[in-house]
Amino acid sequence: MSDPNAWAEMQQQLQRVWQTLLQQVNGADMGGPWSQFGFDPGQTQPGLDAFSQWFNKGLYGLFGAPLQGWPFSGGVGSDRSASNAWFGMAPSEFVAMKDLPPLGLNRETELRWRELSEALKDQIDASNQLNRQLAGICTAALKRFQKSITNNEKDDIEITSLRGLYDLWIITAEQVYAEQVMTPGYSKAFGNCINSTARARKIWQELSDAAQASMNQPSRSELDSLIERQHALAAEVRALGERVLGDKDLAALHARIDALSQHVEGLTPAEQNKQSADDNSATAKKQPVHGPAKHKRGVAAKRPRKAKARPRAARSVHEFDIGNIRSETEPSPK
Amino acid sequence: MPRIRITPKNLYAELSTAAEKLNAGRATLQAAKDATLGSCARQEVFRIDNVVLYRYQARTVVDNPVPVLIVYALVNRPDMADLQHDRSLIRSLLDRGLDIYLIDWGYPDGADRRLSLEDYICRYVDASVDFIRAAAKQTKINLLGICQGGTFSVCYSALRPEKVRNLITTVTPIDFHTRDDMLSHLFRHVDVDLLVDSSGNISGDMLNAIFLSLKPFRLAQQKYVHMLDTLDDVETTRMFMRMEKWIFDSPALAGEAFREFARDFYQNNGLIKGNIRIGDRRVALESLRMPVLNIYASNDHLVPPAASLALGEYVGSDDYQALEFPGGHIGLYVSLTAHELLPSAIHEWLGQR
Repeated sequence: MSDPNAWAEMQQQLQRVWQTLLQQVNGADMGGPWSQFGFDPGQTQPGLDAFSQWFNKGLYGLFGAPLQGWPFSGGVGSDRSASNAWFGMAPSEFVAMKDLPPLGLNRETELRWRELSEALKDQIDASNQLNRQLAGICTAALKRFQKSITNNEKDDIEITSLRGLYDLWIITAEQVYAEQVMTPGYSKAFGNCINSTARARKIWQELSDAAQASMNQPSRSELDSLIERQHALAAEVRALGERVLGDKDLAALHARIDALSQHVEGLTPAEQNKQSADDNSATAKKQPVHGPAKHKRGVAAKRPRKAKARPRAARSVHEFDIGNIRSETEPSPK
Repeated sequence: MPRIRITPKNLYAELSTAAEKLNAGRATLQAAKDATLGSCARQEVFRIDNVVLYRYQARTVVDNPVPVLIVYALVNRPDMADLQHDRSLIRSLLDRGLDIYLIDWGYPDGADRRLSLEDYICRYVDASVDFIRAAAKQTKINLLGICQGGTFSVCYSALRPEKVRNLITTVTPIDFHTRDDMLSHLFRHVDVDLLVDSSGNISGDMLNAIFLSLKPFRLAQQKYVHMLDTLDDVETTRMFMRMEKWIFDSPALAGEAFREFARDFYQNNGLIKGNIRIGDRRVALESLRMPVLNIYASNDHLVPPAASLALGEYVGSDDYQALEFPGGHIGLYVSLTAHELLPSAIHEWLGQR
């Protein structure tokens, strides 16, 4: 147990509850219907043991299991004071090393390991502190439960089944739990437990990354870096896309197309043929061409002809030809 | 008179019954193990990254041309809104002639750890809204947010009021520092940055453990003891298994989005203080000038009524209504009582606007 006193107190309280229960169901003189089954105040140990075992298992399920998914976590009933599951080394051994300054090639690595040992010790302390709080909550809940089954004269509710008794326990326990959890002390203990666990994990990850890197294996930090870059790149592409094809740009583009359509419709057939021939001629000279707008304005002609063809993907953003809308994105020749 | 009257005879009868139920339970659990969630036909209509927009197939003549987009929380899956045929908010809304869409956030993986609230609200929700507006030929649509999805809907509506006709929030946290908010209290001293930096995405298991720790005796023990009562009833056990699947089929939360939500909303209570920024824009609750229906549950242990009711103090809308429903956070959607009342209330309220 992380704190023998706290949990021993809870066990004692559990024993008192058991005694009270027996008296309640069998009468104060213990001469009631259960005496034929051998229950009396002096011989309650077998029943208590079973009850105690069930109760403790239940507590472990409640508070211990959820924390098991966390490396470095303890949970109810776990003994974290002597060793830790990861290294099989007593924290005291880690701590004892810190007085000797590391030297030489592995100095920095050694310091990181010491940081980890400190973090593990903090985590164990925080876990024990939370366990003490939980033990205190269980003891307080058992006390209130005992009180509620003792002061029965005032209450006309009658419990005739094990289920009824169990439900009463749950209601009482939840009430006490809610009261205690809402105290600043519990919130702080809970936060410390999470924070110390996270700190130990972070240092462990960094050490693990260093080991991976030494074997030329991909590491967590490399992956994070790639994800970061990919995320930033995706955001940049989206922003660029919005600038190129944003609502305002599209509206301007549509307006220009409409204007051009009207212009073309207004031309005589001879003028249309001449325009078409001019367009084809310009198309042949300039590759690729995505629209007529720039030819009329001569933008394409101003582009350095000596520039070598660049990869299609690299050009597509800047040379997306939508008239005068994107002229400011023209790349400067290099 | 002793209050506890458990006689040997009573106990024997109780244990015998329990034994019978346990015996039957094996066959019942076998029969119920394949319980699937969802009762309504739906079609994927739009996809962006891992996020999918579904449109539910109409079950009757659509009597309201303005579609409803359901925005669910990032925690757990949206299946809860369509658990089974007789416990389905979506089915009931469809039966009343509403056109229903739903955003499914998917299961974020390691590559999604940088997704922020801006991504979720200004990209995913906004793109979904735009798709629906175009598909339905409507300039504005109705938003229905559930829990954290309600908070997202509030933020979105404040940022893009020109696209939201009516806003419905259900069990939605607005004031994160009410006195009875246990979840907020638990998180008060957690170093969120350290947690996210060391964990990346926040696992669904960890979140579930924290949610269970709000009522550990009831949620991690008593409900399984009570399960014994219905172990000889396949249909009831099947519903129990569906709830189990829904609760524990829990996606991880994208680390960055979790960081922002836990720190800015939960720890700093930024929504009512007016200092939440999504991307480069501030979320101002007074910008909510559209009609708002705020639905909360009277016994909600996750989002206490006061946390939801705070919305009424800050919205800029003249048409604000709060509705209380009996039950808890989940019961609002899956209890029989709520199942009868909630869809009618929503349909009627929308019909008047």
